Amino acid sequence: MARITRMRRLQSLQLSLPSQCAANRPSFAAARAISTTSPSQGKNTEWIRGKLWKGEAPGPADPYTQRMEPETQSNLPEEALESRPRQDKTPAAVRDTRLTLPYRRSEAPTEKELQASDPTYVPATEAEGLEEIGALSTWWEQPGHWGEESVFRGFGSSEKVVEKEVLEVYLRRAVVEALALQQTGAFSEWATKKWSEGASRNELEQALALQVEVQDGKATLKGDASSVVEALTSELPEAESTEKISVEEAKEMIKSWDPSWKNIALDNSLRFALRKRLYQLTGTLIPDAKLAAANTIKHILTLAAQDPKPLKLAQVLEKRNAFNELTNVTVHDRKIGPIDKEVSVGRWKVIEEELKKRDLPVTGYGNAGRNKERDWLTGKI
Amino acid sequence: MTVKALRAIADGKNGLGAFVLQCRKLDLHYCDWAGSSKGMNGFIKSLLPKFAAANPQIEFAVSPRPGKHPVVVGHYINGRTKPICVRNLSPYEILQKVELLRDASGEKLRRTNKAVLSTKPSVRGIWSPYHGKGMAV
Repeated sequence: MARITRMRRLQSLQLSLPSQCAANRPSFAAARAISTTSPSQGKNTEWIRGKLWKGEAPGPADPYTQRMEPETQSNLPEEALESRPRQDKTPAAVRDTRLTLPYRRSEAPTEKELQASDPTYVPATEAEGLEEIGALSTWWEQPGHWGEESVFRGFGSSEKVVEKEVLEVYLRRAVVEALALQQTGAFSEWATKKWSEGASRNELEQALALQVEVQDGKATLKGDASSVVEALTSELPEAESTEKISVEEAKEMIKSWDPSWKNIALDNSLRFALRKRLYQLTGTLIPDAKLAAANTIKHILTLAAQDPKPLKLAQVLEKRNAFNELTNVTVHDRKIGPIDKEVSVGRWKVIEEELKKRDLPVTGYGNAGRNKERDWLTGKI
Repeated sequence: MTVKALRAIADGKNGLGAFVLQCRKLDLHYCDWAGSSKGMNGFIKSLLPKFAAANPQIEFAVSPRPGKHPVVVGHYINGRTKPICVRNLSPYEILQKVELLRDASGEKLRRTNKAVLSTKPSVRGIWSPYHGKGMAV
């Protein structure tokens, strides 16, 4: 019983509410078509209506579908309702690219349309003489679309320096250059810009010729700092290949320097400038997380330099000449496979010949693919 | 492939004929990375040169087998092989294993509970002076 009373209460509430919304916009229930019977079905019931009313039946045949068409009204502001021109949705990077991108797809006018606009138009009946346009798949192979200039060139050196001594020489160069910029007062301006790479030997020697004097962690340069700055800030065309110094040269250079230069204290700006320059010169990037711990040049060098990979046992034996005099010992530097075993017996060339004669793959599976049944059994697939 | 000709020579007929070492070849496999090969790598570096010089009749093949435990495989002239895994062993322990392989005959291990081991065992057994009727001298 409670259910019925509640329903009544709700009904009365709905009637008593003189809402604007209800007056303007029909409810969803009113808008939807309640009747599921199609109009053709309504015609079939005409005879029973006639019988019931004994004559012409009043009212519509299907009272449910005869509703007022609800006016499509929206409560959006007028500005929003005004038809706006559709914006170009291409990303900015694509819109502003310097590459020549493939054209958008367009549809050719039909023959009728063409004849309406240009009565002299005659459709071609053969391909000869028509302009050739390559397929979309070969777009980047066509001249002018992708050349040397489009190939990505990273900021860091592509030839990575691994040797610790060489790395130290380039770090010294970076320190001298950063200090020279600081002394001439151009550091704040040039800290975020790209310094001239200076791949030639002259620029390296020019920077290394300056003396670094350290007192209480603070460094001063002795020498012609302005020429170093000039070389850094000049926009010379970059050299194609860089001349890297050898390890022996680097060792001699390091010996000639006073080791106190490694104790220069670093502040944040210098730290990042050195990291950036070292990356540019040697391709070695110190991770951000580790860089924060570096307080002196020595720390930076420790972070940048990596221990050389340990030698393999075969290389150690070769270096020691351990088995050179022993004719009964053979040292292999890689795994002995089944082919190696056949080669040592002298059977491999025969096997190879026979396989080729039968058009079978000499190594691998050829077109056959791997043995899948084994994977099924072991549950890999 | 086995060397058949040597087999006939090496078949010791109760001590007759020249002595031929049964071990023909020793394969020594190691891994550069794995810790179980530490002793093997030490053995190859420090002890193998001396051992190989002392045993010139054996062929030694040293080769890596990445990601596997170290193994010494003995090849014998009867065509059999005897592999021994030497993981986590010290160089001197490996030396013992290598000596064992060198001295092995290559035959399957079997129990010897008879005084004489013959390739053609007698049907009647070994003659004994204390059995039978005795001999009139």
